[in-house]
Amino acid sequence: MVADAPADSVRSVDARTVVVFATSEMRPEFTGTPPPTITSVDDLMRQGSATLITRAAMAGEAMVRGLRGGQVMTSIDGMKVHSACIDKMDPPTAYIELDNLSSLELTAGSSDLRYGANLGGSLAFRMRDPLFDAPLAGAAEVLFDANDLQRRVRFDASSGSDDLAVRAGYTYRAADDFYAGGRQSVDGSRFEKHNAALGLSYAVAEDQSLTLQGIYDLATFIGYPALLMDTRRAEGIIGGLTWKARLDHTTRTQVKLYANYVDHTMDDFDRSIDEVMNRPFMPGMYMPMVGTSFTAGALTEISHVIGESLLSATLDLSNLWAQATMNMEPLDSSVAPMKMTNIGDAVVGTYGVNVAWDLPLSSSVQSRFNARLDVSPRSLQDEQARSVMSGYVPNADFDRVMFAMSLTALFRFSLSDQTTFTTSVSTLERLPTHLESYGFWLYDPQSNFIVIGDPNLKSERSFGADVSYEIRTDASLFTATAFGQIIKDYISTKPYGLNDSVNNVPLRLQSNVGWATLGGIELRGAHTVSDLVRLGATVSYTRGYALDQQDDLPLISPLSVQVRAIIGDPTLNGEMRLRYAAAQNNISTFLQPENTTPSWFTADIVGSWSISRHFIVRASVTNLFDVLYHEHTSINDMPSRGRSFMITVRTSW
Amino acid sequence: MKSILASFLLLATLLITGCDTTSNPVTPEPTSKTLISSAVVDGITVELYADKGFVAGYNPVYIKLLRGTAVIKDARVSLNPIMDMGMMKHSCPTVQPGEDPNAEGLFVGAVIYTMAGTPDEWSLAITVDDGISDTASTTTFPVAVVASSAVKSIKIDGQGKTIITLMPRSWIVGMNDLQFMVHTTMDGFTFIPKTDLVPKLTPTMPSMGHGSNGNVDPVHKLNGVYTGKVNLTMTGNWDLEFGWMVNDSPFKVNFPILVP
Repeated sequence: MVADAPADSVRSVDARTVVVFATSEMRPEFTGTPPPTITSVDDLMRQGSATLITRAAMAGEAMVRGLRGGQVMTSIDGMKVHSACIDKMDPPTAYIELDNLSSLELTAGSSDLRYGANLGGSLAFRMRDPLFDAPLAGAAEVLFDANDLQRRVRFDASSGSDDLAVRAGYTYRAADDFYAGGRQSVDGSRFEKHNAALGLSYAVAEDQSLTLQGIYDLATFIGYPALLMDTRRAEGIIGGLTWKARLDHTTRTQVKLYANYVDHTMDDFDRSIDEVMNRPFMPGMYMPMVGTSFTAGALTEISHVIGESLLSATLDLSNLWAQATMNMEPLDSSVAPMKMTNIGDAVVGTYGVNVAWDLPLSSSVQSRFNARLDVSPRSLQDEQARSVMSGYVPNADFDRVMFAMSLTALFRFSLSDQTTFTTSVSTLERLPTHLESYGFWLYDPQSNFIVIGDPNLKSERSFGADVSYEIRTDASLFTATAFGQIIKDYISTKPYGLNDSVNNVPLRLQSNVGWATLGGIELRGAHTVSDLVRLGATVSYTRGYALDQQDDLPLISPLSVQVRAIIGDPTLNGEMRLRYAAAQNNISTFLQPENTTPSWFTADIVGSWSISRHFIVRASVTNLFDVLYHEHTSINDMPSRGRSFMITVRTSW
Repeated sequence: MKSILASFLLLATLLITGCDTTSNPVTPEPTSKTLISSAVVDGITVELYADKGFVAGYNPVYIKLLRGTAVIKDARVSLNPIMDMGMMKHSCPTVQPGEDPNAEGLFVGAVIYTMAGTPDEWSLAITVDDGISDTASTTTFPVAVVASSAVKSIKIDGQGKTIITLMPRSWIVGMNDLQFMVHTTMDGFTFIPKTDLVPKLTPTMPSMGHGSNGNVDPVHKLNGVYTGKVNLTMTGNWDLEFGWMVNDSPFKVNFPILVP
């Protein structure tokens, strides 16, 4: 069966793709990296070396090497899922749970353009497929965290015959307000959400299968202490039908038709009257906002082995329909209610073709060449929204077709049995997002300004290069990577000053602000001291600078170090994890003004005990010393969690 | 809005065209306007219509003249509004209907009421010269004028009183054409279109603390009518500030509006 077949044709020579398995049960014990202590999709992304922009206790926005937003491509089984919230409360990852996933392929670099143009960051989540020829199996898991009284319950059941397989899962997560270090309550950070998934596979023929996957995710509340509002209700429906086939021994293909719908409602009804009346931005009124996005697409992938090489092609067609509005309900009844359109029916098509060729140049040199072309017709369809925006962007082209072309080349040299040198060069282009093009009156809570989109934005284009050196022995692994790229027409915001109107709030216009650079280093090491003791460490540093604006790029993580020590065997093991982040003083003062962030250090201890094949208990103490700190990428300096005691009990049969 | 401007230009044209006194009665046609009042004077029935009622500010008025049941289309009609405040009287700016009725047989003019008033205070005298009678006939209608904020007056030393009127329209979210009428008066009875202002338009949302961009300052077109554009970015209460300079001194008036 195709679903059971090893992914032998999905070969890649990209050394910087990190695959993180969604549950430790799916991970070959002690054969890869140290065991992850993953309890959420956010954890999964962190484990994959992503940095998260945090605004709440969950739903972090992934950053990869200083790239974020539209610069990073996030896909779920190749499907594009677009946020509906204009305040970035709901990245696509807010609508999935660990239970839905088998793995995350996080690619930091330029080689993964399969599911969308990006500037060098790709998060490809893989959903869990039902398995053929699998007996009835189930799992139940309960998690409790004493910090915020978080409780998570997961159920999963699956079964498969030789031609039919089914899998169903459900996750419930809820938490009260969490405590930062020093038992400082972060008020308004509670959340509650449900997630259900259903998968059905049918073997059409010996080498063909059909798989229907669906996810329904419902958040009934997510508190955003860093923002002005909270998520009142967020609903995501994600579904796809996939036909997979092995056409012959050298050719595989799959076609996926998918659609997803996201409906996000946020408001400030839970905020105190005092807060509403005295906040600096839009005081004296409630402002519920509703945003929706609907995405439909067709994804065709085919791979063909030609001798020693692998040729892969992807036809990636998708269309996005998005709209968002905000009501303003003054507490002063003499003031009329107001309503604003923040996205006036944006329609954005992305029609891309990606071709990748994995080619051995010699016995010691592997190569990969990748080319992607995107055509993107896009428009803003609401007449009133067009009229309003035309006042801010003279000669705005609301109906246009954009093109993006990306090329990459990667070479991997096996210098010896133990050493490898990898280098890649790329020129990548990514299209402006619908928010960047058509968003109107979007509030940036960190820099306290209002952002207006520009339909005339140009694409960002980067020119980049990576070099990586790896030493691998039986007991040790060491990798050093240096990367750098220069980005033309970097998209950020600039003060708005087209005329001398009386705006009393700082207005910014999405703009191509000229050239910017991103560069950094990553060091990774792992060493097996003995059968029972292993050590691992990572060091990463990124610096971003806007050359024309002479300003550091915002939300760039400082130098960070992580050290892990794992002791034990697959039955009983424990991990000590130390994390350090240096102070970040290279901050943006113009593009997106931000604060400096002091350095911080935390320690975590995690233990896992497999009492039997069917019963596992995990316990952890994170932020052992109850340090009060915040990450630099935390919006409005929202503090991170203080000391947390967590226990997870999982049973399976 | 273009139709309103066209009406203004038409009215202005009517003011300077000649008067045909030949009367050719035709069969009356139903009108969609609101009948305010009617009276018979010298055998002519004078019917006063409005879009709804009268408010402070710009009010189109429609006069229908009947002789018996036949509509009179050949006549000259003039308006003379008077406010009787007891201690003093004054008038207000008008757009005179002239002598060419519209297709419905209505003589179209306008009265720019500068303040609210009861029927005991405001009256509208309508003078009809049908070219048949030896003298023009005049009838006076008491009218009620409801308060609004669409008209502002400001006294400027040496220039008498300046009256700025925001022309009515249905406001929508987005870019709106808008018109102001500006008159000056020294005696309260003679109103002269002001044609030499260089106004600046500043829209704001007082409850939000912001304005908007893309607005076009009004410029004079004809007979005291200034046209511009305003970008109303959301529904709610807006304030349109009309400002200008007189001898390096700033003057401004504000018009609150509601965008539904």
